[in-house]
Amino acid sequence: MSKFDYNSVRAREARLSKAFDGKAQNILTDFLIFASFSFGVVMILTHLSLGWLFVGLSIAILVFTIWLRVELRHLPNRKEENAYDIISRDLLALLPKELTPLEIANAVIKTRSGIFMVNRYGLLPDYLNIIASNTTATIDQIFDKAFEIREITKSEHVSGAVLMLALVETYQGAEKFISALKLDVDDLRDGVNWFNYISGMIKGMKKTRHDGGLGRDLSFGYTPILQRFAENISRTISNAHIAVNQASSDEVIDEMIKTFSHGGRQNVALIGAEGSGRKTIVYAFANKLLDADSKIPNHLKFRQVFKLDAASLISVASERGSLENLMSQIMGEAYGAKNIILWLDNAQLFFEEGVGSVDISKVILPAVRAGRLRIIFTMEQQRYLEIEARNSQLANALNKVMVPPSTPEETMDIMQDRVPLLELEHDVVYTVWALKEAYRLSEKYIHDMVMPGRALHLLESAAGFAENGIVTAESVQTAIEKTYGVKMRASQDEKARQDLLDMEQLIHQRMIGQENAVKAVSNALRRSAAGVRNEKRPIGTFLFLGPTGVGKTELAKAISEVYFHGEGAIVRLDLNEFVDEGSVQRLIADGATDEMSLTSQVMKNPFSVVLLDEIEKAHPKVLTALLQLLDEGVLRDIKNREVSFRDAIIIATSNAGANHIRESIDAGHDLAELKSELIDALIDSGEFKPEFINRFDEVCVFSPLGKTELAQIFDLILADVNRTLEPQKITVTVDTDARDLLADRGYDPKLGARPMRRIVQSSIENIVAKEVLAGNLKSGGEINITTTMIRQEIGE
Amino acid sequence: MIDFVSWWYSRGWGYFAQTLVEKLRNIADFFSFSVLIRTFFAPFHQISTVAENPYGGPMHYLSVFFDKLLSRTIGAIVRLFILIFGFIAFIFDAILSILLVVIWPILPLTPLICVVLCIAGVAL
Repeated sequence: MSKFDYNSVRAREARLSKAFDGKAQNILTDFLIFASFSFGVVMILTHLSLGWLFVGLSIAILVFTIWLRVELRHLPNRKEENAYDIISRDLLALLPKELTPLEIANAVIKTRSGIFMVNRYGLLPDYLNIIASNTTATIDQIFDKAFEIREITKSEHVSGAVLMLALVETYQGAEKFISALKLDVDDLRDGVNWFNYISGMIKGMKKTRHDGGLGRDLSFGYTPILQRFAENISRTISNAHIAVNQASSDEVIDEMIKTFSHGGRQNVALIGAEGSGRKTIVYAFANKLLDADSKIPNHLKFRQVFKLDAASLISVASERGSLENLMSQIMGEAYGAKNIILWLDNAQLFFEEGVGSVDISKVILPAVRAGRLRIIFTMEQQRYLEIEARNSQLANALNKVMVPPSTPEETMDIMQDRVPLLELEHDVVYTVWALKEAYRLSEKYIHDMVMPGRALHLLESAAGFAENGIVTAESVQTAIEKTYGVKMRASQDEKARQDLLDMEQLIHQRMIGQENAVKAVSNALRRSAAGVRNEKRPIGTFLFLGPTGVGKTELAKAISEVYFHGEGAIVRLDLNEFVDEGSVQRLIADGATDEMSLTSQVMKNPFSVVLLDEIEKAHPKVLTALLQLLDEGVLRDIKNREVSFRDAIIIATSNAGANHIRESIDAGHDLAELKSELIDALIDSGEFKPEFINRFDEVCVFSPLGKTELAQIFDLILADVNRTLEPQKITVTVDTDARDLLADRGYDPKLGARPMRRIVQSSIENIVAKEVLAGNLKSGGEINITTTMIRQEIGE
Repeated sequence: MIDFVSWWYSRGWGYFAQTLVEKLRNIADFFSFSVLIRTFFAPFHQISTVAENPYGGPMHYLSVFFDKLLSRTIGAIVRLFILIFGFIAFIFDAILSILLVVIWPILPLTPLICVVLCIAGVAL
């Protein structure tokens, strides 16, 4: 196949049509045709034969215009013997005589499909200029690749996008280049398909739709009551683009057509979770019925779908009797009209008693059983199950069609299909990363819906956070933070990376000792940040074992501050409050009823340290519930919503075996040896089951604090006191002797660092308070605490 | 030039004819030919003054029958009018289309004919 010929007829035609592109040229040629023809006719009528020349001129322009607008502007492919026979018109018109990769790069970014790839896939002109050489050596290779991509993507032409991809893929460092964009070759090819799909969609919308015409509804009855209480969705969607880009949804629509085509019960109950696309399916179904060219039985053609509004019905007739009466009238009218399909959206509202709902199943059930009136029910899965349990007769009378959530591939297709409309509505451009991020984040953090609804919802929200009119992955992240209240972690900037490298030092700035535990935790968190971890589990799961007051909780707080930039990112549960069997319900309670339940707190703050204090005191059923959380990083709440813990650090603390630890350390045993010994002892004593202990990434044993460590802790506590007094500009210093005295008095191997905090409070803080009140210590002052002052204060 | 000529007398002509056929289809759809013929005797907007009663006697059935008959007659008359108007529009458009299809091959030659007429000094 010859690659490219600048002087080929098709290339010349492409350039000619480009020269006449644009509105101004169109108006000018139309004006010339009209003016020349009119002038010519007037001249002829006034006996001037010169007028024929003007008439001839106008016809010549007309003929040229027809050729230009019909043939040249579309320039269909030729016999495909040469490359220039299948290159798209806009690209062919831009390709110069001396073709080099650089010239190709300059041309493709000016085509419609090329601009599409630049905007959505970040194939910026600067990048292309880097990878495109200025020699002709690789031209053949680029065109060969373009033909291959055209075949794979089933593109009509070698378009700007196709040639752009060929340019990228033939570049020697292509893989690295594409990876740097966080994409792969298939993503880019998918971009070509996306562009082709949108072009096809626009072409389809330009075609005249056959919808039955003037006399379509003459044989169908008037529906005054229905008009009042229902929305004729067939009218609202008329000529709108409603694509159901899912094989599974097409199956559902076919199933609906089949049900309404045959005899028997003329109803369909679409059952699916919120966001699964039940409503879109009904809209697409209604759209299909209105299309005269669709392949459906004649008796279904031009039937109209009326969506009944439960709220407006109930507002008019809130009593059951009057509502039943009204419903009977509506159904009678719908049946009499002969072309109505009733749609009961949120159908459960018609089958249950409650706020905003009245049970009128006694009226609906006979109509459903009789099968004369076509009815569509849409219902949420859980609500259907409740109705099924309550009213089996009704459930048996319904033709159930399940609407499953879409698969990841289907969701991407649906998002790609919806993006042009969203872009038009919000005047923005979506990048492919925004779509991917919308899928990823909605899957993790939007719990009330399933795919594709949740991804589409987030994608639409992200339009409000576009930067310079472009919706990026960051826009989607901001959207989920602002509209769903999910706090995302801070970005991995340079400081955050350095903090991770210096994690041990940073933690030790606020806690003393426990080097083994600190190291284990720091290593685990570094692995996670570097991406070397299982994404299907929490960031880290740790069991801290040790006596009270040795820094278990303090370490959790330190991790929260260093890793999540603040102590506020702690979700703390004292499991000694979860000791009975019913505690599991409280653990996974719905946020609306208990905002302090574990699931509702993590739903709001997925990036957090989950601190489960005194885990040994929890009921065994609570521990069993936590197994899945530790293993898979998810926990289902009481509403069966999956709550993700995959961005959380789980820390469980326990005092179990504290005596054993203390005795062993006193006996001079090594901490590492002690760990396995302690775990065995805890399993043997039945305090923990082996499968529970096994779920943790690390079991960290905290050793009792010695006097030296306690003296260091004293320094931290003193620093805290000074921080508290900072607003008053008062500084407290302590003599070395006094420090040793306090370390001695605050030391209790059984209670750890807690007595130290108490003694500081009862000595130093009391002394400072008295001095301030006596007026001896004023703003900007300094006080040095001596041994005598302390002895006096604590009464020794 | 050869490319233009070959397009005009092959694909261009075909495309033009196809466009005109599509236009006729649009007219047929606009005037609902197939629907109106299929439902020619259907009651007009299902209007009836007598409510059907499955337990009604022979007189009731008779009154329902005549009621429906009236509705069907009105429907047929309305449909007939639409069909007549539609048919006229369709025929008019079809004749125009045939004329245009016939004129199509002559159109590129018209400027030449006009030049000849000018030189010959033909005027009305």
